[in-house]
Parts: sequence; structure tokens; C-alpha cells
Amino acid sequence: MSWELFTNISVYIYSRSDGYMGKSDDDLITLCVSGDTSAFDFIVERYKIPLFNFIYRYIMDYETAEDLTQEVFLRVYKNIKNYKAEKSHFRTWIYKIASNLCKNELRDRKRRSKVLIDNVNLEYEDGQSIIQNVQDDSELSLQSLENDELKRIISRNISDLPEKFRIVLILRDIQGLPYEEISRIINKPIGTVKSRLNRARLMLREKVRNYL
Amino acid sequence: MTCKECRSLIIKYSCNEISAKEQEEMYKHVENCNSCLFEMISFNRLMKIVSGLPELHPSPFFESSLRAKLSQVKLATEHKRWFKNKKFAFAGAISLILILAFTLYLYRVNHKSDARQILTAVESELIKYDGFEGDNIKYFFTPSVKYHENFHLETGNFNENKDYILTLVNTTDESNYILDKIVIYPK
Repeated sequence: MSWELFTNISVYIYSRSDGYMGKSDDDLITLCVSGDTSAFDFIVERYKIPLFNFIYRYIMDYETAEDLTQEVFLRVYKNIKNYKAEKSHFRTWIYKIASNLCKNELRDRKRRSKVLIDNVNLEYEDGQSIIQNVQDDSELSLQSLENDELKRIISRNISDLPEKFRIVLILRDIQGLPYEEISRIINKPIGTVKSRLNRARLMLREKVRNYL
Repeated sequence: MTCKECRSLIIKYSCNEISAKEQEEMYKHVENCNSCLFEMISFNRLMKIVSGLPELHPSPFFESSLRAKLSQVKLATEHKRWFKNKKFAFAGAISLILILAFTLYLYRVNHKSDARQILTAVESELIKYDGFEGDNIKYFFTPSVKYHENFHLETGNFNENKDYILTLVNTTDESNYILDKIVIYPK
């Protein structure tokens, strides 16, 4: 009995999501605007993971990334009627919202950390600087690193890249977005996107040179 | 091809953005240049790792939390929409004004008619006291504390649920002798 119920529910859920599966973003938005809340749920389902990954790689904080991803969807929901398909792709729009939120978050974080650093004494009792005691990654034994560890190091080094280089690297090399879309998201010409991406790759290469 | 030119092609090659002709030239160069060959292998490895970084998933509470936030937004949006509907607001304001005006009109009409009824009753009772009409008679209404110098009734002082007693006092001498009390029953 319970198995039948489960099967029915599964079939129902599958048929509901299957109905939206082939629809484009613009079709889903039209449905949303006309009051179909399931269409919005499907947009969330479609973009939840890519957006979360983009935001996480950008700010490197799991909880904040989750909050910001939710904030992106809330903003999309609030402004969905203002979205104009002829102006830009939905994906460009949603990533633009996300990148603006990330920028704001990093700016706030900088402000907060500045206050913290100003108030914290960066020296031990014997006068030695704490910074000098932080272990340099490059001194770690390189050969013994497992693949997962390498991924972790590369992830961390991506997050250490300057913001304007980091965003293009995440969008292009991790998320796989085309240059045109990246150009619209960051409001820069394609040439600038390409040169920044090149610089970002070289910078990352230099940072992880010893691990490869 | 110089090593510098080869390095820029290596980036393209690692990101699958190289043309067939460029790739051929690059291969020719790395065959004879160990440094560029090493660079090509390690850069290629780096880009493969970058593009294959594991996909992270938000927590299992992500959707329920989002749903809760969305329902709050929906509620707020509906309230805003209700207030933003100018036609509805205009019609509401007009209806309110009309209702208020009509209520005020009914109130006034009722109280005027009450006052008129009481006035008629008092007049008919006062006929008995012809000799005392004029400045020497003062009329008091109880339980209303309002003092009426002349036969002038204020519409606002009547209470439908109470009887009014008109007290006639002789003021020709100092004794303030009460001549009579007239009970008036508003209809």
C-alpha cells in the first residue's frame, strides 16, 4: 500500500518536473509571471547548484554562499516582472545579480576585517609576528599530496586571486560560460574578459607551480 | 616559434581554444623544447583539475529555508499590490466618505426630530402656566445639567433612553419656588 503511494507520488513528481524539463528559461519566466509557482520552483532547481558553486568559489564561505544563493532567488522572484528577455539572457541576469551580491559581501567583509585587524595585536608575547609563523604552502611536501588535496589547494588559490581575475576564471573555466555572457555579467568588453582570463590562468599557474 | 609564443599557445591548448594550425606549430616546438613540454603538461593538468573541481551542494535545508523566505516575500508583495491598486483605493476612499456623510446625515435628522418632539411636548405643557411665561420663569432640564435661559433646545443634549423633566421655577422672589415639574417622554 505504502509502496503504491510512493510510486504514485514519484510518478506525479516526475511528470510535474518532466513538463518543465524541455522549457527554456524564458518560457519558465512567462509561466512564473502568469502565476505558476511550480515554474519558479523549477528555475530554483535548475540554477541552485551552479549558482551556489559560483558564489562559493567567489567568496569561499559555505554558509554565506547558501544565504546569498537564496538572496539571488528572492531578488529574481521580486523582480521577475521587470526582466526583459530581449535585453539579456536569464542566465546572464541571474549571474549578474549573484556577482553583485558577492561584491557587496566581499566589500562588507573587508570593512569588517579592517576593524578587526585594527583592534587585534598581531604579535606574540615575545614580540614575534604571527604572520611569520603561518606555514608557507610552498614548503609543504609536494609529491605526497593526494589528488583531493591538490584540488583543495587549487580551490584556495583561486579564491586568493584578485577579485576581477577570479570572477572570469570561475565563470569561464569552472562554470563554462561563453565569453559574451561573461562580458555582459561583468560589464566589460570581450577583449578585457579574454585578457583578464589569460592573466588569471597565469597567476594561478604561478601560485600552484610547485604542486603540479 | 619562440618559447614566449609557445607559452601563449599552451594556455589556448589547455583551454581547448587553439586552432589546428596553432596546435601543429606548438607540437613542433615542444618536440625540441623540454621546458615548454613540461609547461604544456603541467598547465594542461592544472586546467583539467580546475574544470573538474567537484560540484558542491547546498545543505538539505536550503529549499525549505528558501521557501519560508519566499512565502514572506509573497505576503509582503500581496499587501503592497493591494495598496498599489489605485482604482481600488479611490473607490474605497469614495465609499468611506459616502458612508460617513450618510451616517452624519441620519444622526442629524434623528436628533432634530427628537428635539422637535420634545419642544412640542414642552410647549403643550407650558400652556397651563400662561401667567408665568416670560423672563421670570426659568426652565431647567434634568437630568441634563444644561441650563436654558430661554426656550431654546440644543439638539445635542437629548438622550433617547431617558425621560426629561422640565422644572419650572418662580424667580420673581428670592425663594426660587418650584412651581411644577413636567415629565417629558420623548417618543
